[in-house]
Amino acid sequence: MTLLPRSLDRLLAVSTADIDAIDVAWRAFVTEHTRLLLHVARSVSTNHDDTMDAYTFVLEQLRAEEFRRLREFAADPRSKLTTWLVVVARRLCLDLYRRRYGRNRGIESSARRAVRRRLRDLVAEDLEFHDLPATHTGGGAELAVRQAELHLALDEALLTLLPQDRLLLRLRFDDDLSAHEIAGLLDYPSPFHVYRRVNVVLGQLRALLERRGIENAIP
Amino acid sequence: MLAIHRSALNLVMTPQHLTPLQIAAFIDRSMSRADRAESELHLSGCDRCREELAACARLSANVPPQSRRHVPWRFVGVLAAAVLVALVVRPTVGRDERGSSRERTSSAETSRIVTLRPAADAGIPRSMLSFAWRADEHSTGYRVIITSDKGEPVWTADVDSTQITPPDSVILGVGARYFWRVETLHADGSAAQSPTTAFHIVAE
Repeated sequence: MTLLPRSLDRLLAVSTADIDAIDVAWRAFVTEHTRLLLHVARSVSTNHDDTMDAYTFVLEQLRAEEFRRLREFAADPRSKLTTWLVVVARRLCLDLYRRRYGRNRGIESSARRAVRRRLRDLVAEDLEFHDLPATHTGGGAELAVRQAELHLALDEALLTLLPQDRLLLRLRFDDDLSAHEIAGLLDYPSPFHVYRRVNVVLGQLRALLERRGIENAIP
Repeated sequence: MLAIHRSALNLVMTPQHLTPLQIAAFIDRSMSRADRAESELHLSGCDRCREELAACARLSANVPPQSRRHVPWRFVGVLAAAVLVALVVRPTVGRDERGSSRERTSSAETSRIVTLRPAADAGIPRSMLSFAWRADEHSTGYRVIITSDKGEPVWTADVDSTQITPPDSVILGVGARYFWRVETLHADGSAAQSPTTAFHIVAE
């Protein structure tokens, strides 16, 4: 059970009939968390105006329905308020952009797609599959088919890993988190333990693929 | 064997996406062991939740620290009100810029950015035109705005450094009078801006 921060405690303790007291408590809450909320708004925006729009929208939504979201958090505070605010504010900002620009626009789309292939590619690279030569007969088409088969095999091999290990690899390669960040998130004692585990898991993948008869990329 | 694993995974995979509270609790490591294991299983197979987790973990770890300046309690309400005012009455490009060459920031502004060049009413060849100002230690980035003498926006740019040169694509007529100013948003939500000053372009 996490203790509620004083600003939230005060805000939710004020009677909804006392408009002035609510305003005072709300201003104190906003003052305390403005930096964090702006930080989140800035992370999903591409310019100053979008940032301010998103920030304003988040404040409106947090205040809506007599602070419904904040009351829900207070009823079951299983995390720090600031961490929860980051998650909620980011979702609200993304919702705003999706509504305004459509699902395909955005921060996440192109950049995310760009890194999404990294795990497959990096694992393939580690397994020396990146150097597939095109044969005279098949040319580029044969190479593409072979790479697709290898990637499929990799995807299947990934599914056989423990969930924690699969999550580790995806955070490391798909989401590009540093070993330091992963250590904090997944409770590894240090970044070195993350590196070590990543190497072990890559070794497991290699062994799995070898058992499936994939030892070398060269036909 | 692979097929068995895959079906097993599908059977035990939590179908519901994680809630904000679950993601926050995962980041804070404040979940029970059983809940965490269940979340890990979901995260290992759900791109959407995992990407959200990664983004939020990164954001949480990098929140700028609160300002260490001491704000007396009696000013807290005023500061919060100023934040709200700054949000509602955002500076707009293209306000009436006619009149004197130096003026026009609201008296409610709590701070000003000091401009370094060009000096007020300076005449400058286009190729030599650049803008510079003193750093504002609380700035989260600057916006430079040039307007015509009719108050129409001519060029706006966002920049992190304290100087900028307008690109060649910005056409400024010889002899014409322009105004420029710099605005910034502080990390605590307050705003600051420079005085609006005039300059004109002279022949090369």
